[in-house]
Amino acid sequence: MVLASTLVLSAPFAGCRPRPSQEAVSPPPVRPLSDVLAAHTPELMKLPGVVGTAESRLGDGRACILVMVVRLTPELGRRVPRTIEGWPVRIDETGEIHAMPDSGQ
Amino acid sequence: MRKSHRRSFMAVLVLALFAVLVAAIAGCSNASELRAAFRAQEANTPGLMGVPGVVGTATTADDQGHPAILVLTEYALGSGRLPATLDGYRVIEAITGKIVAYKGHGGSSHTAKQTPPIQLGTSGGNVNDIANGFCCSGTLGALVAKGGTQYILSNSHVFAGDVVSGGNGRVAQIGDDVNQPGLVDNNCSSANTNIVADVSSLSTLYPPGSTPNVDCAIAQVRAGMVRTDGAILEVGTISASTVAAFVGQAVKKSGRTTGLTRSSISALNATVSVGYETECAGSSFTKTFTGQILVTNTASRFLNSGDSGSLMVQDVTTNPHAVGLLYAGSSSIAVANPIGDVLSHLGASMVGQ
Repeated sequence: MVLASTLVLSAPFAGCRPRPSQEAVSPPPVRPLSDVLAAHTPELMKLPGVVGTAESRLGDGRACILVMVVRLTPELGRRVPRTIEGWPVRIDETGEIHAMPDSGQ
Repeated sequence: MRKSHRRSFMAVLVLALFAVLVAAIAGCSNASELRAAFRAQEANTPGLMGVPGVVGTATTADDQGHPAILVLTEYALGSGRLPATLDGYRVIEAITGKIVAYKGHGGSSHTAKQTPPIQLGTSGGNVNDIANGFCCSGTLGALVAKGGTQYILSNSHVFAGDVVSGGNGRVAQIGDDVNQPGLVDNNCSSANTNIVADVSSLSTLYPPGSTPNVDCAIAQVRAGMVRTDGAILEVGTISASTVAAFVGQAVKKSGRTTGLTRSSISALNATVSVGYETECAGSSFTKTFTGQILVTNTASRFLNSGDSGSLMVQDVTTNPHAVGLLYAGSSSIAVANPIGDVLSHLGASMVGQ
């Protein structure tokens, strides 16, 4: 149980790590993060399983583009870029995002 | 499900504490030494528990690996209040603070019927939000003012969530009664609940392509039914001014299901596709919001079903500033409208100090 909770707690941080070779091939950003996010969100949201994007931070504190997915499939892992216009991309598996009323019978 | 989450979390904590204590003493003592230490601890516990500020005892190991008696205290007792040794075992003080039952929130019930004028951060909703064999409710989040009149602030999908005639032959209307507690906490009946306000705004959500980029609604307060200072359960009064969110900002909220909970802002400027129903247990639709605030919601401990409509404020003790209006999430993130967007849409201001 402790192991399970440790895995759960560590999962979001693991997702923050840049993937291998990301920085070696990525040119530095030219445009502000907010501009890049606004420009690329429409195409990202069209990917099946993507439920959101945002400005966030990596585990080391660097700004990044956050892509939220229902489930991180191998296909999404391939289709979501590692960087966008020089900004690192972090993928979080959030599940579906839904309103939060409660219901009863 | 929510209770099982709490039980699981508590079980993990207990196991973790147990594991730490076992690990601390396992490698340094044999079984007979441990049993002797346990006996010494048990024999001295009544006397130790009689010392003001002591909230518990345990057996542990000192920094040399020798068994020792651990005394849990609400606050630092100061020198001389505890013996240095008992029955030959070193006494070690651990300041734990007061130990309380883990209920996911503090002592205040967020689902019980209150005696008016009520505090907010409590169960509530539209008394007609019942369809398809189910009833739905959320949280009465905060108090706002508009043109000198006070309104309860919550989500559109809480006050005006019924947007099709569908399963109950009606849609939410201006003037619908808002009750406390909500239907889900009164066996889907509004009988004997407090009718505290009347719905004053309609859906910002439907049709899903509609312009508003917020999930908010207000209900005009009925005289004497809601505290005019806008006090929120376990938060108290808030500031009349608001503050913008930033990544890493510590926040808290008071909601119907999880009570008072704390977390931090994880992302900003979010575009999110949020799932809704056209009425209680109705058909599904999605609406996409932009410029939203994301909050860490590990295992739904910050926000869970029924917390919709909770006001998110700074995590400070006195008169916190409002940051956002919570309305959606998953088991890992919670989503809030920036409070500035909400107030601009409504033409309202926070009621506070």
